[in-house]
Amino acid sequence: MLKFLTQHRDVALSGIKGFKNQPLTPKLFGLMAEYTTKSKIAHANPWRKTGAPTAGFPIEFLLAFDIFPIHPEAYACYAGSAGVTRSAIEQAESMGYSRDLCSYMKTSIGATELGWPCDFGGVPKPDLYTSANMVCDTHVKWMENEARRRHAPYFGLDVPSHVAGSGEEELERDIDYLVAQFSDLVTFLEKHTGKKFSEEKFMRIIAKSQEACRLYDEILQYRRSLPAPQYFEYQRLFMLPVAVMWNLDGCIRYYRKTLEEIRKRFGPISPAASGEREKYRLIWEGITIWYKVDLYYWLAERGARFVYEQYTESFAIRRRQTTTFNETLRQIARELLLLPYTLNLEKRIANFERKIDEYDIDGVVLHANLSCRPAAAAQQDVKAAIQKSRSIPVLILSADMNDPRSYAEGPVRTRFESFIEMMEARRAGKEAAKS
Amino acid sequence: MQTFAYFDSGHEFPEEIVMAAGFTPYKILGDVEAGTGAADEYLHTYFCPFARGALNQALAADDDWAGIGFAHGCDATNRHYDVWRRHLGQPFFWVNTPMKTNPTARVFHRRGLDDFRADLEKAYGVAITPEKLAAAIRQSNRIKEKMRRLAALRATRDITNPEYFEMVRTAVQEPRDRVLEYLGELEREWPARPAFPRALVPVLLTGSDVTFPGWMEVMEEAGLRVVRDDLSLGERYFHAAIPETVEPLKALVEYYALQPQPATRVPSDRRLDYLKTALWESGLNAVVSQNLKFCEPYAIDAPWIVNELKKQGIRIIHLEREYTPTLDHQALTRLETFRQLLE
Repeated sequence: MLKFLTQHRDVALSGIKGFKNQPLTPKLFGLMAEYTTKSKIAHANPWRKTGAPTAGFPIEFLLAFDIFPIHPEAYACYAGSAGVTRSAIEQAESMGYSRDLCSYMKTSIGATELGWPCDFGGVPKPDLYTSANMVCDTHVKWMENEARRRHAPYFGLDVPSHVAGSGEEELERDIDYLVAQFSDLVTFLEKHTGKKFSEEKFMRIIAKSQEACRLYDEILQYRRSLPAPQYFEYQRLFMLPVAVMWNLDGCIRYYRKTLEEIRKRFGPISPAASGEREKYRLIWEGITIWYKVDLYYWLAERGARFVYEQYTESFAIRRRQTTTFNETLRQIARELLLLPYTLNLEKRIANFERKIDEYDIDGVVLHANLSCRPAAAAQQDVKAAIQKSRSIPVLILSADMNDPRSYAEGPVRTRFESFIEMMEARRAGKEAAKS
Repeated sequence: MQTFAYFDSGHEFPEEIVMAAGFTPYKILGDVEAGTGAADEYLHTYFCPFARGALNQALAADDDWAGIGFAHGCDATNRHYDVWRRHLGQPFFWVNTPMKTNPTARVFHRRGLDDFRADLEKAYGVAITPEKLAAAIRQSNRIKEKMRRLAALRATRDITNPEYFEMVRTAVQEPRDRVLEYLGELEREWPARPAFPRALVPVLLTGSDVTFPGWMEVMEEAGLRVVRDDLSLGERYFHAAIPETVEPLKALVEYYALQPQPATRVPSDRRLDYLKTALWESGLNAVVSQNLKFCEPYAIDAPWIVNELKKQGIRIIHLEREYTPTLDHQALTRLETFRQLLE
């Protein structure tokens, strides 16, 4: 870290400024610092194995082998929040990676190559890599290539696509396949850790993971309240403990305490107003724009707040409690296949419609993320369907989650101004109709 | 015989099951001349232009096809299926080909093929018997065998890049009997061609699938002659024979593991191994690697493939290419320079 601070002083100073601009509570800032510190300690400890998973990969399998999760995407998000991704991305591009490729991947590879610490996107060399393909091809290609580059073993989890029109029969077939792969994964982890898999230990971890997800989900549910207790610019950082699971006990304590505070403030979950409703309540679809928290502040000044995102919901999918080992494996498989972030078009539209009603939504923003093509697929159909069935404005916003070169402040604000005008006109129309 | 169209980002779609159902399989390649205008109404312009071109063609050809099948390939096939299904009227079928070829994946692959066969039988009221499947496999193997023999002539005879492309395009789009007839004609004609032109430099072509002749023309214009490749519209299609001594659907599963591997599958080392073997077999030391704009699997693999082949002393260039019917002069200039370096 000291070497980084002396060699990359500008990046460090700019990053500190970026972190300070985030809506962090001291506790959440402490948790973020705890994760990177523990990542470094785990990496330096020759007796501790570390593993690099991608988002959505069932980390509990790694934890069952005492493998510390070194999470390249999480570190890339740190760099994005710090606003220091540009030079890391350009470093990766100088290595031959195309401008059009995932900016998380390029942030991670570039920052690692530049010797940056994980607080700024670099990845300490893990003992093994794992990824799954339900979100994108990139997760697979990225981890496999990094494993090869850094001489570490790799395991890829193949998650079939549960496309529109598929039914329960196909789902069961796909669950069988994933459960069989979990067995392959255990064999892989046993080989590379020298430890035997313990079902009891795995189930204890799963119980904690389910409790963490249950608490997190209840907090998400409270965002139906008027006003919501948390907004996207905070939620995107708040999800870190459950997304990475480096300390499940700490994660549970943190979410439980937060939930208690929210319960005290709001009472039982209810969309009925306990306070003043936000002027415009919004849904954001897709990954956040990490380097541009100012956009969310700017929207907040205009009364527009994001109260639901499939993205942040997708990190807490172990909500259904299970008791037996086999039931748990099948449930994990089901959760991977039906992740809110990767739902097929039919289910995705239905999910939008449900959330629009539950969260009393005024408008939807679909992030046409230049770095995440799979997630941006079918947005035109989603937009058309929502506009037809719910008659609310939908904005398709073209930007990039971690590459500031693809973000143009002026045009983005102009589009949001028009979007807000549309919501305002709809609101005025509704009020006029009432009176 | 009715046409059954399929969208496949590699060579993963089981054509033989469609053939056994009494259809002519037709690989959707899009029409680069027609562009992507109609598809762009549903897909962002920063998605794979080939995938958009394929949807564009499907929207125009809606009534010509009895059904449309997809194989689980890259992000485009996996995520665009729903969009196609929403806007096109034909029966749709999804074949969940696995990312791997290990024993676990093979069991799943087999179940997927069984399901696909049952879905076709139900949708069209046909019986896809083992005998019909075996006959389709035999016919496919005859085609692949002829293609292998013809492709081998690229190294010794004057067979242009667009001519090779046309041979493979015909094989994946025309009725099987006509394909055999056409290949028979080429078998009579190509061996009599003049010897490989001295002015041209032989290369191996790898990367994103070349789905229109324009890119082959650019390479020809640059003086580079493709004598080996690992493309789906190329050697991946005909390199291996489908086993004929085992039960037909099992044979298709085994065949899947024998093909040169695309970038969407893991472990990727098999892809590199094929390239190294092809270079060694043919004595080539020059490779043109390319990816179509926004084609992520091949773009991500590019730095690795380029570096590994350079370590072997292979001369290699990597280019990103556009989806355009016009001669790409920027690419041409770079390829000409590459050829000059090779001379």
